[in-house]
Amino acid sequence: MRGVSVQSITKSFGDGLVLRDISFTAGAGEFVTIVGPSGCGKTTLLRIIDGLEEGDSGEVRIGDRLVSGPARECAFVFQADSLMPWRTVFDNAKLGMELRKMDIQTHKDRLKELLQLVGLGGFEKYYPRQLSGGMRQRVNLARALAVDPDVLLMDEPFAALDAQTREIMQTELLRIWSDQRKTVVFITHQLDEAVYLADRVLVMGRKPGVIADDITVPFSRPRELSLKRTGEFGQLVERIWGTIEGVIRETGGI
Amino acid sequence: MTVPSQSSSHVEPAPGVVIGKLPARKPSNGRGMHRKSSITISTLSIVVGIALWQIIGQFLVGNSLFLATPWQTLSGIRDMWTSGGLREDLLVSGEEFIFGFLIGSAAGIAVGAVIAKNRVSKRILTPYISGFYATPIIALAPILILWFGLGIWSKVVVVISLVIFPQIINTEAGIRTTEETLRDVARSYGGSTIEVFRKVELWWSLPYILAGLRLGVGRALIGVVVGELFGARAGLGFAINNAQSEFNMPELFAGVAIFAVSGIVFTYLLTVLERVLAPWAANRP
Ligand SMILES: Nc1ncnc2c1ncn2[C@@H]1O[C@H](COP(=O)(O)OP(=O)(O)O)[C@@H](O)[C@H]1O
Ligand SMILES: [Mg+2]
Repeated sequence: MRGVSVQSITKSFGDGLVLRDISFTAGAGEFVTIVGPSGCGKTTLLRIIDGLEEGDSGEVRIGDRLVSGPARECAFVFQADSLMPWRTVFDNAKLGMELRKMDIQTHKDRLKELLQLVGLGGFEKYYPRQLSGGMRQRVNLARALAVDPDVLLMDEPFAALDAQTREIMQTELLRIWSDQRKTVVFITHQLDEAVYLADRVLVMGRKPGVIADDITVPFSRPRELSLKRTGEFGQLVERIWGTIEGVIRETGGI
Repeated sequence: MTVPSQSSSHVEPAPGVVIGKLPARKPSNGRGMHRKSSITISTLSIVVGIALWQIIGQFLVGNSLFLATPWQTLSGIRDMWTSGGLREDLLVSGEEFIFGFLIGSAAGIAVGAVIAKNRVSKRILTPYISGFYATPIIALAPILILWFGLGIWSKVVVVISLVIFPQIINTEAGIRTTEETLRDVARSYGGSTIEVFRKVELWWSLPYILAGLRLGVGRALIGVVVGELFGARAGLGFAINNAQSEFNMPELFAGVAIFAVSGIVFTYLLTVLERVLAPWAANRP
């Protein structure tokens, strides 16, 4: 398994500077979350790491390899609904394998196990429109895990879910991650989600996007959902909220 | 045009539970339940329509020079069949329809795909496409007959010219409206431009293409009749024209009825095709 290192990434769209001199690393197997107000460039940063987009300057490395073009070591879990409506759950999950020219026959059993792991055993023949939002994101996760990536890039994967499903998916993700250990870069704008999941939380400021803070989360794993109700958890969330407030005050607006 | 929709009922697994079995509800295409009753209603509607036609023809109009009844129309079909002309006419019109429809649809899909993917070709072709789509091409039929002669190929060209433009427009719209995130998914897993086209854009466009085919069926039938009216040696439209000049209403109505039935049959076959090819797309028109 390999980690991610982002060095001095700068990116503008037209006249708008979106990311300025962003640098951070996520060690191999580390779970890093990135929080920041919307529009601060989180999605853009993640797309650059994945190689879907190119930075104007700076570089991204997975392990030692310099990323240029869609990175084979990464798998991206998108923010929006990103399943092919014409594919069943099983066929959606194998799309990444298909495109990466992995032999489906030899990996078929593993794919089935993965669908079990993400809680979709028995739903292989369903079409996306027959699934709830939570289940669709499970399929997205299975599709990403199926290509056995070193790095999982997750862009607000639970943002569209209701609060309860969201909490379920957070514990599920940690359970799956403990089974399929990956380097994870996970974007969210929910602070409790960021803290609950992460080994480290990066706080992004905006206009242009910079890394404003880098906080190590001290809680041991496995983590129960009840952790969110403890005082230490609340204090850490408070502290990060303070940073973000400062960032927003400096850069104006939400 | 149809837009693929994604809404449906939901099933959510309980927290942390691995679901091993399908729930009682089978994966359905969401329309299966009502299929039977909708066919019954359609059949009933046709029966009532024919009955009304018979009643109006027999009691209200009462003159077969103005309106042939269904019964007279049926005997018209029988006469045409026994005199030997109908078989030949059906074959000729059928060929014109099939060739025109298939070539026009295939070319429409191809051109639609090209202009969707290539900006320059779109700029070059769009004025012609919108121009020809908006003009009643049928008015050009006499010229096409003049150019391509009295045989089937002039009619095939008329049909192509009617079928191709809606299909170009639909296919282009399908590819153009493809959800960008889905393209990104394919790209992020290393999909090439061709793979993005084959595995995402083409599938996304399928309901649009199928809707274009359905539009095409009606327009192709019109093309066959009108083409033959302007000049032919055989065919159903030709027969209708003859019947009309001889004031043979039963045979005229017979010709028209055969076209109407073909329209119903081909449209139905296409909805079957949609069910087979795109069971995942809900809410079609
Ligand atoms: N393809 C693009 N073209 C132009 N501007 C873009 C593009 N993608 C993102 N942006 C702009 O970059 C900024 C950051 O966007 P994004 O990375 O999506 O932020 P976030 O994910 O943090 O909400 C926004 O102001 C957005 O309008
Ligand atoms: Mg975003």
